[in-house]
Amino acid sequence: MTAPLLEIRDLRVAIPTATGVIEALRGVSLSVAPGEVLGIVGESGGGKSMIARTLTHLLPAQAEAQGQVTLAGTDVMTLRGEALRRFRGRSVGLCFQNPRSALNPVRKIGDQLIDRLREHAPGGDLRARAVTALAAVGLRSPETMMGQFPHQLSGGMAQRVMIALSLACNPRLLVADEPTTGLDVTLTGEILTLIARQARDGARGVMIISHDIAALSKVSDRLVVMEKGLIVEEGSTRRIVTAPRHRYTRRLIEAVPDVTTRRRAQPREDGRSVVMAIRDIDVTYPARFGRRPAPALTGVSLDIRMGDTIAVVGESGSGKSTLSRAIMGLLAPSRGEIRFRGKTMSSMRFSARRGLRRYMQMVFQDPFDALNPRMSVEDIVSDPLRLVERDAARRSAAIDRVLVEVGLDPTFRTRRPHELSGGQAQRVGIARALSIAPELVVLDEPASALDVTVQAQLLDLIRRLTERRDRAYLIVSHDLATVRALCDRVVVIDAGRIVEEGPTEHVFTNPASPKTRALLDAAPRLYTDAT
Amino acid sequence: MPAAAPNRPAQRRSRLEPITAIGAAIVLAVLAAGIAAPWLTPWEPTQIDPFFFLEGPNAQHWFGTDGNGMDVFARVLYAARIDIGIALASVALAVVLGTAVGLPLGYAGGWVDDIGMRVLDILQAFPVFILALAIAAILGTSLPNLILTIGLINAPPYARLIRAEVVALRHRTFIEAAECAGNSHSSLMLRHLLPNALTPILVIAPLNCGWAILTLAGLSFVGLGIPVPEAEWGAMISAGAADVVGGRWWTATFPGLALFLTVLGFNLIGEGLQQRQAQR
Repeated sequence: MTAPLLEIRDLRVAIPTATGVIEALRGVSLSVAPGEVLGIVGESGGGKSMIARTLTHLLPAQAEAQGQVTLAGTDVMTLRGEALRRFRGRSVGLCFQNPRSALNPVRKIGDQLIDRLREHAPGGDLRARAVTALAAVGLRSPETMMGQFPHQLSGGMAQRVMIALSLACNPRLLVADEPTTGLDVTLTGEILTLIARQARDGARGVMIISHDIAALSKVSDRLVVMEKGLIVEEGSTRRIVTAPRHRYTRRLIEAVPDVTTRRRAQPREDGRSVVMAIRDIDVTYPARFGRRPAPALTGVSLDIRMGDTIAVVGESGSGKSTLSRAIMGLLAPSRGEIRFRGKTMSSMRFSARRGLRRYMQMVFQDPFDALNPRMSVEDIVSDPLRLVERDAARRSAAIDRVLVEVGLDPTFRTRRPHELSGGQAQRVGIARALSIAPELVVLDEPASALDVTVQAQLLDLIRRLTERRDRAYLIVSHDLATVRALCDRVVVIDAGRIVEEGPTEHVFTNPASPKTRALLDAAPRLYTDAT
Repeated sequence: MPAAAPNRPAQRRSRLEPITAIGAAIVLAVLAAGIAAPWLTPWEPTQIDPFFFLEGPNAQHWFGTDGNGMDVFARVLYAARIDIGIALASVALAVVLGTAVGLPLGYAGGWVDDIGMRVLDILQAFPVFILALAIAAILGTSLPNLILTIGLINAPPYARLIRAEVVALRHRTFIEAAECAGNSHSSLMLRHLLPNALTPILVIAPLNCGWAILTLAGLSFVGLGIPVPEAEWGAMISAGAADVVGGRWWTATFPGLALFLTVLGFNLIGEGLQQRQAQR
């Protein structure tokens, strides 16, 4: 084995706060060899990001770090001033979590790249080198992109630019901190492969930090599993995935949605009443000044029957969220009609539509953003209920009942959103939707903002709810794997059109559309043969 | 998921900034002195001592007497009631008016919002004090009219502030969630939007109380404020301004100091609240 490129010994990071000292890292030792891809996996709050931050001296100001960090012979912990600046520029390339906010919004992509080159690796035609750097990360028209601003890029493109920027000065170590957060499954695979490829020259080391063990298992040589600031397990990716030793590792692996798990419950036979009928709708967002209006949905038709659980699957930007918002009457279709309980909802005015609200409810993607920060759980859950149940005692009983139903203790009633964890907040969101016993519940990516193990629990709750078949559910997701065990029917949507629709098992075993096949291939699964 | 800080900000509230506490202490002290005035001085604010006109500070009249033979100390104390009372009432009125205009404008959006905002633009194009002069001149100078005048001229900034907050909140997911829950327009505005839009208002309001007192003093100074012989700091400064030339400094200086202290107090409260909000 070659000498390690990066060596971290007994790293401890403590962050004093008003409520006490948080021990973010409690003695972490690891190494990265040249040409190696190391994956660091764990849930949020596990201390993973603190490792990347220590490497670049980007810890919070009051944090205290102890231990030894050596990168290619340099003692990282003692670097100061000019030496630190040069080290940051040349030796470590760091890709941040949210690329669009990590790029300077008022400077062109090209200028940001050229700046970096001029500062840390001068020489030659800087512009030409910048274009080459963009082309090297798989961006198709690097010349055009040189003149573009970060807000003009999609999430995937922005992350590629971020990678190009990190690699511009040919660093010995590339560190990517949750590089695929917010990207859909197809892009996640592409970006991680691109990052891992940077170690292929044999000289550079790559460290990828992620909560997604399935995605990491595909690209990393070795895995380090972290829980609460400690490394609980370390080993070759293959060994960890096939024979995990630590309890926490096993939990992470079990939480990976399995694309082969089928729905146990059988759908009811036909002949049930249609709750909602969507007939050939178009949705067009109003044009910004000087631009043409962009159609978000074109010619979409769908029947939702009582007891059905339907999945709407598509990549980000495919129009699936637009469809759920149109169903909820939050935006009006420009053509076609939506009939709900026999009434044409799409042409109703606000007050008439209000009368139908009690029969349809929605659960949103980001659980915290969907809860009013100034209200208690009790007020949030009873917000829809308030309109139909005047009796305070009965309402109170209903709140308790629905909280228990979603797996929360009734003592949660007095809490406020900031006192909840992500999983608890989403349960409150579901409790709100169920409080008035609606006939149709729309869940928009209900688990995608949550940690993997929490995600698994939440999907389990949703599965149990849907198996009662006492109402219709529509689940919007970018990930086919999570919906197979949940849904009776699958609708695949691409570029605003339905490209495939059918019973779940039929779609999974005989996908007709190339888009469906692409989504199936991208579905996260554990790779036991790391490449 | 952002790399969420494992700690949850639990005890962020409760403790006041020291600067807020000092400001509040000043304002409360001045107000308490105004309310306790009958016990602090034997003199009535409009009582005339026939033996002393324009007498300097002495054992009997601590701040001296003015040109009418009224006790300046008593008048400065009693004026605190009117000045702080008008300040609080007019700012409360401005907040209510501003909210009543800004909240529906921000909620409705579109052309309603456009027209409303242009009307506010026009109102705000007039210099504030000139506008106050005009309104006070039209309505006449009584206590309720003064509150109305100062409330009216202070309302447009609040309308803007509330509207801006509401526009930013309008498309947040929790408002959409509230709409999906079946809330009516009024309940969306009052129950869901208003409590979330109110924070910046509460920061500005104390600062505004200071300005309100200054506006009142300004109106009184030019003769459109509280009519004599009622004790009011601005009117006292105005009346005393002429005496200063003759070396009789006490009639204008003491109400001036009281005015200065109170406005300072309100500003400190506002400053503290602003710092606290900036920390979030």
